[in-house]
Amino acid sequence: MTTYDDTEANGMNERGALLDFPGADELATAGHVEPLSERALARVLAEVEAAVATEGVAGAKVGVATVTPIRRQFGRRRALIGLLTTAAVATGVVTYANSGATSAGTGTHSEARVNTASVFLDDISTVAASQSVSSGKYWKMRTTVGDEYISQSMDEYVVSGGKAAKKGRHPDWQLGPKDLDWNGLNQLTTDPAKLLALLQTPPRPKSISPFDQASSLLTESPASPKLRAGLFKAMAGLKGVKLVGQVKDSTGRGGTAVEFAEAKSVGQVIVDPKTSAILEYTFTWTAGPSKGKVTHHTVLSAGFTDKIG
Amino acid sequence: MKPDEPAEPGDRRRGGLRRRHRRDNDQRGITAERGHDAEYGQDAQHGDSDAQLTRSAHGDSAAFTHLVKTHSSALHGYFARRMPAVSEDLLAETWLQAFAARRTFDPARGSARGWLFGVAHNVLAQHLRRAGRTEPVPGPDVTDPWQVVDQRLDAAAMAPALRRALAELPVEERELLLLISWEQLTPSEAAAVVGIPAGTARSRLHRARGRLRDRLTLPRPAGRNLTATGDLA
Repeated sequence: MTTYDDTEANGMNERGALLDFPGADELATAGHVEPLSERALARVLAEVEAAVATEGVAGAKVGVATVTPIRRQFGRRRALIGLLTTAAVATGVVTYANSGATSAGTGTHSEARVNTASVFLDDISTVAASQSVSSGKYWKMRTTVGDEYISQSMDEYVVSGGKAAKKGRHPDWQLGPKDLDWNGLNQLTTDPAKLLALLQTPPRPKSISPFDQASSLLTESPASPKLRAGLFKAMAGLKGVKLVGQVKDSTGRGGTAVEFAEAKSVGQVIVDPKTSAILEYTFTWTAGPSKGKVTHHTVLSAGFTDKIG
Repeated sequence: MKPDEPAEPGDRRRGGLRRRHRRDNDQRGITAERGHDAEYGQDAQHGDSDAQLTRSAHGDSAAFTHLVKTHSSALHGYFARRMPAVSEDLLAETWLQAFAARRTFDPARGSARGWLFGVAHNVLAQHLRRAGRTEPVPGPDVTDPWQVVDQRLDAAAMAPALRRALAELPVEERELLLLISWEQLTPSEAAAVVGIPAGTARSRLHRARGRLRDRLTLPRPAGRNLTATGDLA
């Protein structure tokens, strides 16, 4: 105990006394900073929710909530539970308490909704909406297998080993009953409820799942920030989407994974909570003759450009 | 404060005094951040935060989300004033580390707010160590990126004499002073953040005030060497 312990009873009066020197007001004013942006808060919430989910997964798998902080360099997210989570995710059978369908576009969090994929995707939607709008003649994706360019007329070019080659026409992106080219994307609604309604229309023959439709648009299309935000919110409303938690992609980058299981397969996207970019899409056969086969589509970077090469 | 480090007893005895402090601040014309201002002086909310952190440690993850919403603005301010280029990254790191360490929070030892700033302090120290590629040194971490803070003071057109006086303060005293001025922490909370006993922090803060008064109030004859007063009044 010190002679000052008694002054604690004075609480904040003591603080005022300690700041009683010439220039104290000036010092306080110099500390003014801009308030935290909504986007930044959404990003933090998304990361925390992923951490909560990660712990939920590990806890469910081993029955013990063992948490170890792992400190890493910035720009790479960290896994709060290393090996336990990796093992859990690798099995492809992770179950996470998901409330299922939720209303898209509410943007509010209740205690009942926390931990669910919908909360995470709502927050990522805010991050996506805050990304800057840009444009260009081509949409360029740098992947682990080479550079790919899509022109505004949907011609697809591949650059591999320094050589550019026209690959043909890039297939339109599917969104429920719609087949969308570059122009179609620009004219598409960005309203989450309407996007969800499109995703939930009865499937056409050979349709891919609603989750894969949204994932494809988010991963490899020149969708605007507003459209991407709407798609994330729409995805939040899909029944069966589960939050996996914090994982690493095949190149070692950390992100937050959400997945959707079908009868014979599981699709998973890993999202960068900082930018809302899709780092990797993974498709895994869980039944049938190809059971166990895994395909990764890893995007190292994506954006607009005006020239090929 | 290391998340599992005990704080001084008595931290819980603030009672309704925050309200008085707020009135004092208003009279002094101190500009408070909106987030701080809204949060400060609300005993119920501080109690809520303590309870939420405790509940989150027992499995109520929704309670932790509420904490994130309540305290992110203040914690972001801490980083934005000291390391603006990476303030968002440091904020995210703080919450992840706080979540991982949430079971070490003991409301009997100090407030959730002070505990969270302690986590933030550690995150900043880790960042500074990485940036400088230096090994941890024994003793409490010092997280005083003075160059950045001084640039902020310069940009705010602070009186040169005040800037000089702050620059000449011992690092530990300046850090404590900024914690109570900018982060609006109590002296006990500031002590817990930097990991020293509350009495030591108060002693240093009084000494810092004495130095600043000497520098800024009294005329300084040429050639006079200023001595620390150790004003403990």
